[in-house]
Amino acid sequence: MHELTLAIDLVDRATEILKQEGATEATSLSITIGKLSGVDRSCFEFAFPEAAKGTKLEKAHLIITETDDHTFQFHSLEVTNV
Amino acid sequence: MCKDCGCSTATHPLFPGSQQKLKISGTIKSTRKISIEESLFQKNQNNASENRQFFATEKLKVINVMSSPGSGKTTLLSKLLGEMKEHYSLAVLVGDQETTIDADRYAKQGVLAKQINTHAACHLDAKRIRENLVDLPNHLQLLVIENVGNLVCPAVFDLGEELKIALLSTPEGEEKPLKYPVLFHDADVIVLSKCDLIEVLNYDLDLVTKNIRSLNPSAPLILCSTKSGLGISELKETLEKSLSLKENAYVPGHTSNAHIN
Repeated sequence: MHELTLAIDLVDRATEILKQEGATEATSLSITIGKLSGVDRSCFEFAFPEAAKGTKLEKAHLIITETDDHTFQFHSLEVTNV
Repeated sequence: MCKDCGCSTATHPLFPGSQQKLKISGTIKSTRKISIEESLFQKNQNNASENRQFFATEKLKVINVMSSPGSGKTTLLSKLLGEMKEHYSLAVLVGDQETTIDADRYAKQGVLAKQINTHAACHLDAKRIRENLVDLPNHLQLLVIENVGNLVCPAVFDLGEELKIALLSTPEGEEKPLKYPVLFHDADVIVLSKCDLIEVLNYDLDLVTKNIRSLNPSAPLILCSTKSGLGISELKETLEKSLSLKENAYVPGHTSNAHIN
């Protein structure tokens, strides 16, 4: 299941951004998964919480939009500062 | 729907805009949205670009071969590369979850091969290729990456290769390209292996061709059989032409460190 590798990459990238932005934690992430991207939505939804466990993304809500093309895109990250 | 918190009002009456401040148990919590807009394949893509740059500097031609497990990648490639090693200095990186069975099979044909065991992973990625390049001899002309047997995951990961080969064996049926479209859609060369079984299996060659062409109208489709030798020369010529290998032909004795003796 390559979705776990990709979910770990997403968590790593988001963690980097949180650090750059000086944010405490992420509340949501918005991504697009295309039908030709080779990424399965349900596998990714299963893998993401596993990849996020113990990170600042642990409580983040994953928002997925689907398209018919090759897209696999990270759109935005909602963060909180306490 | 409110874009801030998902409530049913068009604009949130209390917290308009993307900035909101909530007072929670005496602390001020502020939420903000950061726009990213980057590909989620970016991390692998960066590694693949570095590999591609390295291959260009080294004048190394790289092929990524993908198929199901048991479709005959190792048998076909060890036969093909056993012949090609007389003309080119070449090596194989072969991916499997466990064992060195495939690397041993290449070695028996006198083909230099390094086994990569991916353990839990179902594919090779660009970083893993880069980590394994250090063990290969200098002055290689051709590197063949035999990916982990899988029609799904390997298709997603760019390794920095110049040419992708998708291999399909006749016992897998005629419909596999339609069921696993990404690999066949993106392939530069498509090989149909175990063609000696066409008659035994009552295999529908027209149907598989139609299925492949519906996804990939232009990639060369080569029918092969390691038993009869069908297609081996055609595959060799296709690779030589696609990768301009002849312009870099092997000088015997010059780069013999790429061979196992």
